[in-house]
Amino acid sequence: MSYRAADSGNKDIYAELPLINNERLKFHSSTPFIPDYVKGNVSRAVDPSQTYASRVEGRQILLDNPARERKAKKVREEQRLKRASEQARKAAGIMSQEEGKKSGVWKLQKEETKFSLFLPLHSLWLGYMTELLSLPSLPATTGGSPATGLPNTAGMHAKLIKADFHGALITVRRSKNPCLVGHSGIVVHETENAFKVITALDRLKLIPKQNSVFVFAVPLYATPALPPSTSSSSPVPRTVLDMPHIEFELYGNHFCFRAAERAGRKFKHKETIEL
Amino acid sequence: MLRVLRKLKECVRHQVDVIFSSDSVLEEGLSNLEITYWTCQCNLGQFLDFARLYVSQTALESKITAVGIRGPTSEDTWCLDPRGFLTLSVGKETYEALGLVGEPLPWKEHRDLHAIHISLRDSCPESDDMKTWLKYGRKEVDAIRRWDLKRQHWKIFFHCAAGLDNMLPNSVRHVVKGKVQRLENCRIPEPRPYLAAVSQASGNAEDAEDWEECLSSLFEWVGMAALASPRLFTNDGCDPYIAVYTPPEPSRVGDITTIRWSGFLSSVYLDHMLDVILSTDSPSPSLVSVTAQSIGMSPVSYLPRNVKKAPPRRVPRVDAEDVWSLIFVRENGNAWWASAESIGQWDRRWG
Repeated sequence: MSYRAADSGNKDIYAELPLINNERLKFHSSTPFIPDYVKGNVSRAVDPSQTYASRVEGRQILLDNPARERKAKKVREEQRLKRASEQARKAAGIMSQEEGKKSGVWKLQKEETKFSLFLPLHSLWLGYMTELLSLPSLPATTGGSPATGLPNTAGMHAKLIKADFHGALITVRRSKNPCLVGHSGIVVHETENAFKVITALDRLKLIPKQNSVFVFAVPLYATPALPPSTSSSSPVPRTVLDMPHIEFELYGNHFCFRAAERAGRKFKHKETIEL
Repeated sequence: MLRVLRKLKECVRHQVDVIFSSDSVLEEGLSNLEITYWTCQCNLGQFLDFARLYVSQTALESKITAVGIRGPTSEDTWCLDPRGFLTLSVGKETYEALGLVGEPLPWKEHRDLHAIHISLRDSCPESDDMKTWLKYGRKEVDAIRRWDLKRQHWKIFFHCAAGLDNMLPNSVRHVVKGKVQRLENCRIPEPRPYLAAVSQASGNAEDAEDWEECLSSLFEWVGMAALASPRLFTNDGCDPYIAVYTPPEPSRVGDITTIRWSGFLSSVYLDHMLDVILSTDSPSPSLVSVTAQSIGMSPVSYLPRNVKKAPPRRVPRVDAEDVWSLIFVRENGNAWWASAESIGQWDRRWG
């Protein structure tokens, strides 16, 4: 089949095709136009049929720019997604940051800012450490050199770095800000960039993680939850420092992540540990 | 003149040289001067407990001064000045672990060094130019105790003007007598031209320049005499193309006596030396010079008159330069004096 190029001049593109040899142009599905046209015009290819089959057949070509989405439709879609996420959050019972600040969930009242009130939390943390690190139980005989009772700490580091520190007793060992050195307390809230601790003097302190090196202690032996305080003759150990323990250093500059993110994060080895 | 003298002597010195044209009376007076100081090796906390007994709460000057050094490789050092203030100069690692607020030194090369000022008196001076003063309280005691646990003992040089009731264990008493050296047949500058230069120095720039040149040659002579340089001898036969130095003219031939004390020299002894020099009636014309070098490793080498002002900051180092020299001339009832100070790099004494 051959065709003749349209004459130049203003032609109505919707007008009927001109007659060729006094015959109307006929298209048959058995002899489609496009394949013949492409094959006839790809003169440089060695195998026009192959070229057509690999590069044209089955492909969709956009002849014009796609229609843009209307702005109103976009806004409606966004609102719908937002409503859906809020409903999912409400169903899960999660409080937003603003709601939390408004309701004062993260604020401690004056009567709640007592070190003794957080000792049970610390005791829970000791139990958590016992399970996490699989600490051995206290030996029956107390004799022997302390060195023989030391556990292998090589495997503890990987677990500790992903552990939750709420309830841990931390101390600032070194810091670029000298005012922070020596601050010690039980962690009541850990955020991405700071520890909120309650000190033994019943003061709530916010200690930034950046530019500080912390020290925390882990019990040497398995520690069940501490018994409730009762007036007994023998003094009940109050914190991890009152029992055999191991101290670890925590570099704040490399620890600026939220507790939830830390659990799944891969920590790379860092060469510098300077503040 | 006494005010100037007392200003110059207001800190501990490492070495003092007194040079004068030979005079037996003055020589006897200065030779009899015995300087005492003590050394010990102990913790800073232990020393401070001992020193606090001798820090006066009311008087301007306390009876005890001290310097603590760790070693040539450690950059941590401290001193206890006569006003009862402890100044620590610590490196970056120590400052971050100590937990006491200080101020960094203002030089880029020594930004890591911090100076911490602690008052052992019951009161602190007012803050002066953003300087932070700490009072020696519980926090400071704990910080120093933690520091002592980590490091080895300090080598401490101290002097106490009062009688020591309870001495620190392992203290060693040192008595320093002046080393006398006599140089015979030396050229000693005549003081008269310098007197004339002084009287003319208030004139124009040329006179001031001449005066400066006169005095600098005089101080140069003092330095050469302290070194017992053979260039001062009258029979010095050195090739003039090799030896650049010639004693200032006019000069006379005479004998020079040099007395040197080395050690931990408290300002109390400088006071005695100056009293002896001023009171001795030496034959005229008499020229006496006193040259003192400070302890390079001390964080404080100069104390301002005003107790409320903090001492100027400096970088403690072994080869620090901090020397003052005083020349006192007396002739026929007239007297004049001149002093020169030489301060090295990284010292804020002059701004």
